[in-house]
Amino acid sequence: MGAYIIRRIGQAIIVLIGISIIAFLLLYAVPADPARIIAGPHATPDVVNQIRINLGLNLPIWEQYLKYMGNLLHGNLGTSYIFHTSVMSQISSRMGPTAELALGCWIMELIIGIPLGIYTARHANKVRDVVISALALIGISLPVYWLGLLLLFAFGFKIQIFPLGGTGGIYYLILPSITYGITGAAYYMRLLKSTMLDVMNQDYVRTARAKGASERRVIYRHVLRNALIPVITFAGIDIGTLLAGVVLIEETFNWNGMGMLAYQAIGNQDIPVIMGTVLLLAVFVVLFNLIVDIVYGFVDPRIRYD
Amino acid sequence: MSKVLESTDLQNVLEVKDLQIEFKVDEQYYKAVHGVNFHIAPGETLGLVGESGCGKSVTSMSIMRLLKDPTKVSGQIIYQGRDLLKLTENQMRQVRGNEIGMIFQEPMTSLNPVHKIGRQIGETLLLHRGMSASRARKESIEMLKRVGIPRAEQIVDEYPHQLSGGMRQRVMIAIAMACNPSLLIADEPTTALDVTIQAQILELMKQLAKENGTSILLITHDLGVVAETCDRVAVMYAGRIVEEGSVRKIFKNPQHPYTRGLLNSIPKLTGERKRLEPIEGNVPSLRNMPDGCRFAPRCPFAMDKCVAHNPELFEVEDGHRSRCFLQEGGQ
Repeated sequence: MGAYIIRRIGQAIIVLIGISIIAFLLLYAVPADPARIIAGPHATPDVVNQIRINLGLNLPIWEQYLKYMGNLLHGNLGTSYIFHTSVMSQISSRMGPTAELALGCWIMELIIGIPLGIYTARHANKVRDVVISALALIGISLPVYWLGLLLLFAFGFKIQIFPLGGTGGIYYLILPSITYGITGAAYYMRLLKSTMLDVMNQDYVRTARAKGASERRVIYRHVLRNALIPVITFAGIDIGTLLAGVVLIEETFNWNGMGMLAYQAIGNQDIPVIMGTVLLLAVFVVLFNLIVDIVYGFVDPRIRYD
Repeated sequence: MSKVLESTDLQNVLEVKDLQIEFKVDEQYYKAVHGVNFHIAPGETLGLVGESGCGKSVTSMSIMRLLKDPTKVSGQIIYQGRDLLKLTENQMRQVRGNEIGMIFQEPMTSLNPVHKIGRQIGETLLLHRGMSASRARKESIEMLKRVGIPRAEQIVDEYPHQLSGGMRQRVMIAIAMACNPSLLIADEPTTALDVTIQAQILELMKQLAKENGTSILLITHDLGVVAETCDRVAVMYAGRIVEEGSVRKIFKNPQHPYTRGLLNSIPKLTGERKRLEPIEGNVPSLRNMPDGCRFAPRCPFAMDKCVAHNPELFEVEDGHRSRCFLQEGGQ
């Protein structure tokens, strides 16, 4: 197991280097000129050129990349072109609220999605299943910002139970989490339902019934655990991407998180910040994939790493 | 159950009467099992033999009431004097795994991959004997020893994928026999196993059944298995029993052309070597069942009467009956 994790971390580093190269190349392929953006539309070519030299943008791209990666090794993600503060400090100030929001959204998705998945699998093809599946389809189709505004209007403005957006503890977290949960839960529900239906046809489920196990026991003891693998995979990737920011939710609920940071950085052509957020997203996705692979081993004994 | 049960019902562990099973295909019901009758006496082993699709597995599943909806099952399945078809689901659960144990064809997939062997055997004891987890574990180790698994103390904590097919089938037998059932239903228990393992598994089943006085309903397509294991045999064809009797009588004096065909299609080790004779044609599909004798389209002796009428089971000799007009009038 230990050797496996070390090997996987080694692989993860290679993946991250690959991602950094691609992200770097893509950003420099964009026709916009950061020096011009920083200098403003009225600056003289000399000024723009000076900025370019200061930022090292005149160097060949591979040299720029190596310089960037060299700094990265020292924990330096560069300085924002626009705010002139370190990217690292910007990211770390957003990380707390983002982690809070990501966890809230994720848990809400699971709380809504998993029980509904089990329920619809147990009652597949009955009216209950059809109704819930139809509602889930509506849930998937709802734009989060629209649902978010609706909930804000209802429970923040009309009936004033929740704050009208902003950051600051669990009280502020509830509406955005519910909004995301409603739209995201349907994926979990459908995934779990289809896997459970598949597992229910397995021979060992028949064995469990032949032992005299109740339907409840069959579902929770024998079907569910076998049906969890794809859900765990999805949940891992999901939380990984959520931690990199939930732009639409953050925008709707005025939540100062990573999503907003990335969104604004893209608008500003603030390349160091964009790079930082992209790399962070990659780290989270890779990290949670690794965690998912380790969790597999606990859920399914056939998966063991040596 | 207001009906006064006949005395034979009480003597037999299981008495299946006029069993009909219908499956829904494209909004229409088709009969897969058509008026099947058989009984099993205490300690007796009955072989239910036939080709794939003849309704033998479905019959065994219907005894456990494990067929999925939409399926119609009618008739009577009288186990120890109770009609299983009339029990509630809760009552039926007390029967499954407790009074009737079941072994399936596929040992590789019949055990839950995520639970330890001990827990899978112990579950039956937990459910029906109300044992504590630690008692059930001890009992599971005992069961593993009884089914001839070496290193039982270690195997109890292993997972199914760590065992071979033969070992897994032994575990399945341990699960089925854990509560000392009066009836063991074995649905093709050796089909998926190597020939050398097959004999061991059959021997084990026979031995355990003998120790506990358990009756066995053995579902198989393999007449060799029947010859080795069973006391009596019922041959099924296209949802009907076409011949039944003691193993000795059926093997010595097969009457129904289908049974004869089956016997001719197994290779013999002794005597003159001949070409194997397959039975020509195929089993009729559920949707196109012949009106008369269902074997008539494939039967070398078919007469006009066979196409128009369905023969009943005619008594050939004491305890040996055949569903064929050739035996009409006790020929």
